[in-house]
Amino acid sequence: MAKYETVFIARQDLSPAQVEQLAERLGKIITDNGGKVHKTDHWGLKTLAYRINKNRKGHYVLFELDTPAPALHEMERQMRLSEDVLRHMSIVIEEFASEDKSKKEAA
Amino acid sequence: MAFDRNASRGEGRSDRGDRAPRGDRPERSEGAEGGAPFFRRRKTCPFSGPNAQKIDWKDVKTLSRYISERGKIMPARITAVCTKKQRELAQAIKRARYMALMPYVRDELPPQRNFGDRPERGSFDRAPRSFDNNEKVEG
Repeated sequence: MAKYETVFIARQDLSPAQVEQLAERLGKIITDNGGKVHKTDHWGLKTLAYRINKNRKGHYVLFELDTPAPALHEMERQMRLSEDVLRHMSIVIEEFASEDKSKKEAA
Repeated sequence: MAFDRNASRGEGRSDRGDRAPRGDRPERSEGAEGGAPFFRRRKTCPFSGPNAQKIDWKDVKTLSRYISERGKIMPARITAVCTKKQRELAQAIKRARYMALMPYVRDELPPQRNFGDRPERGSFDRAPRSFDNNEKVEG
C-alpha cells in the first residue's frame, strides 16, 4: 500500500451537504477495496483561478489515502464519470502532512 | 566613442594598480565608474538548509511569491532558489495551476488600476495606461 494525496473539485452549485455525501461515496470505494482513508479535509467553496466548465468557484476536498493502487484507480474512474467532479489529482506522498507535523513535535 | 572608453578603462586599470599594494579592494568599488555597484550579496536558497520551508503545491501563498505579475514562474537566478528546489517549485506551481489554485496567465492589470469602466474625472489628460509595470517584470 502506498500513501496518496487526492484533491478533487466539485461543482459550485452543489450544497456543502451534497459535497460531503460525494466525498463519502468516493471514500467508500477506497475502503471497500482494501484501502484506508487517513483524513478527509473539506476546504470549502473556493474561487477558481480560472473558469472550469463554466464554473467560477468550486468545492475542494482533500483525501489522504493509504491504499492499494487498484482501489485508487477505481475511485479516479468514478471521479471521471461523475459530472459533479470538475477536476481531480492524486499524487504519491512520502508522509501525510498531519503525521509529519506530529513527528517533528516529538523530535 | 570606442577610443574614449578604452582610455577610461586604461585609467581604471592604473587606478587599481595603485590600490593593489594597499591591500584588498573594497567590494563595491569595481563598478564605480558605471554607477551601479558590481557586487551584490548572494541570497541563499529559501528552501534548503536545516529547517527550511517545505515546498507544498497546496501552499498558494508561498508559491505566489515565485511567479511574476503575469503568472509566469520566476527564474531561479532572480529568486536564488537552488536548482534542485527550483525543479520542485516548478512542479508545485504546475500542480497548483492544474487545480485552479493559481492562474496559468494573468492578463488583467492589477486591481487598483482596473477599477470601473469609466475613467475618473480629469484623468483624460493623463496617459491612459502605462505598461511599464509589466515590462519591467517580464524583462
